[in-house]
Amino acid sequence: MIDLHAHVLPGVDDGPKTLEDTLAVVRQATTDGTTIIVSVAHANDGHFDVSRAQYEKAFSAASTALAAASIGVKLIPAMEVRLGPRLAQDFAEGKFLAIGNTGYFCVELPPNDFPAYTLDALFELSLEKLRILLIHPERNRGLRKRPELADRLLRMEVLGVASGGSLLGQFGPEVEAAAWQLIEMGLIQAVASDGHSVSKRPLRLSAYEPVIARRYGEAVSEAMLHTTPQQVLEGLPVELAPHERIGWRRFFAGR
Amino acid sequence: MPLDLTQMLDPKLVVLTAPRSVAAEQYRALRTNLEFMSVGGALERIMITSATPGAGKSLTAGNLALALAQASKNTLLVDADLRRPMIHHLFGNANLSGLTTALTRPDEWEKYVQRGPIANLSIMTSGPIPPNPSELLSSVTMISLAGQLSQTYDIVVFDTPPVVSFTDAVALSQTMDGVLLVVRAGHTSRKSDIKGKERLSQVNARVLGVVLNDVQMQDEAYSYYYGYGEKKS
Repeated sequence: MIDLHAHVLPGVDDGPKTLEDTLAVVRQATTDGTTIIVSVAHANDGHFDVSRAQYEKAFSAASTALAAASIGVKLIPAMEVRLGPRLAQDFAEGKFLAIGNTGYFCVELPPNDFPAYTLDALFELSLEKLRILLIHPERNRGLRKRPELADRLLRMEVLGVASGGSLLGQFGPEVEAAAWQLIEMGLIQAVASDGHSVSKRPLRLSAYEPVIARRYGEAVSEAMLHTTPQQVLEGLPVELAPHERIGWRRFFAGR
Repeated sequence: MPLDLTQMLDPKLVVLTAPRSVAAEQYRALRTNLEFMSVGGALERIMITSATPGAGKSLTAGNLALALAQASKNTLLVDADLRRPMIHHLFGNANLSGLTTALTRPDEWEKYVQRGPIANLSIMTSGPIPPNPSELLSSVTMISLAGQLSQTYDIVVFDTPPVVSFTDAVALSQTMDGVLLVVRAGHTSRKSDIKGKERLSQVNARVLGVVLNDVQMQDEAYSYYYGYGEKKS
């Protein structure tokens, strides 16, 4: 499996504190069947402002330690960038990292509102030849209040990735309901662990497979956990098709 | 890995994929008609639209552009349908930048023109989709870009969104020399097609004519005539 979004670098943000912690969370992911991890760090969320230099240092420390411990996983560098009015300029000046060389760029909205400049800022980023990967849109309160904004993001071909914990109700019933709704609209096309630690927010993608399959069928869970993440890593566009909830009859017949 | 262009082209681009078909012949006839019409005033910027979605306007734009290029006209096909851009899908082009990029960086618009599958055809895909397509398409920058494009090319064909659903095409028609309205047999409704035509006439757009798309051919003599020399399938 490919984890499109997890915090595994030591001592840079709210992910693992030490290199030992890094090894522990990544080991957990590989045991679960994850082979590739897009390793993000908060670049500018106000609590953690990880610079490129800090990021690269932590990334190479983690990669070396993983190799030394012979943990067979591939880390792909990326930053999780909080939306701001001048992201495109900052990107052009080399402040942020996209996901490896895929051309996809991780953006997260502030949790409590959907700023008026959001769509313009995302458009400016896409003018830099970037495709937008919107991280856990279900956790944005503005989007939950006004689903028509999700429709506008959809038209701009913004690709949403849910945090697996949202689907399990870890962030409350409202966030969970929003996640399902955004999947049904087509904005969310993939799920990542958004893992931070071994116990509280683990890197355990397999836990989300059954909940998605139960609601939408196995083809959709396959797409959300395997095919779509693979397309992202290959830098290919992803079709934002809505997903339909399977009927109860079909659900029982399929068993 | 080398790219095989014919494999990436949509087979419905019949002017190239089935040059001897009836449909391809009709697109060439459309080209000829346009040439005759340009006697009454230069046709350097032509806009293709429809009343409602699904009429086949992108295919018409693509095939017409191919037919024009084949007649040695230096042609540019622009995807100005920022609601549902299709040209890059039809021609297998990348679409990370295009018209919208050119509109935000007008001094370097040449950088956002891609080569088409045949000589004389260049393509400008839509580029990333903006939050406000109609604003961008009715901007002063769009007017001056359209001017620059027609200085560089013999003819520029614009694919635009349906005219009843969105104001984009109505706004854009003001910078055009002529407009072609695509209707599809058994698909678009007469009422909305007439409404589409009215929308354009209200702003004094020069509606050149209507392209009737997707006609089921039943007349044997007719198809025999166009299919002459080709084995019937």
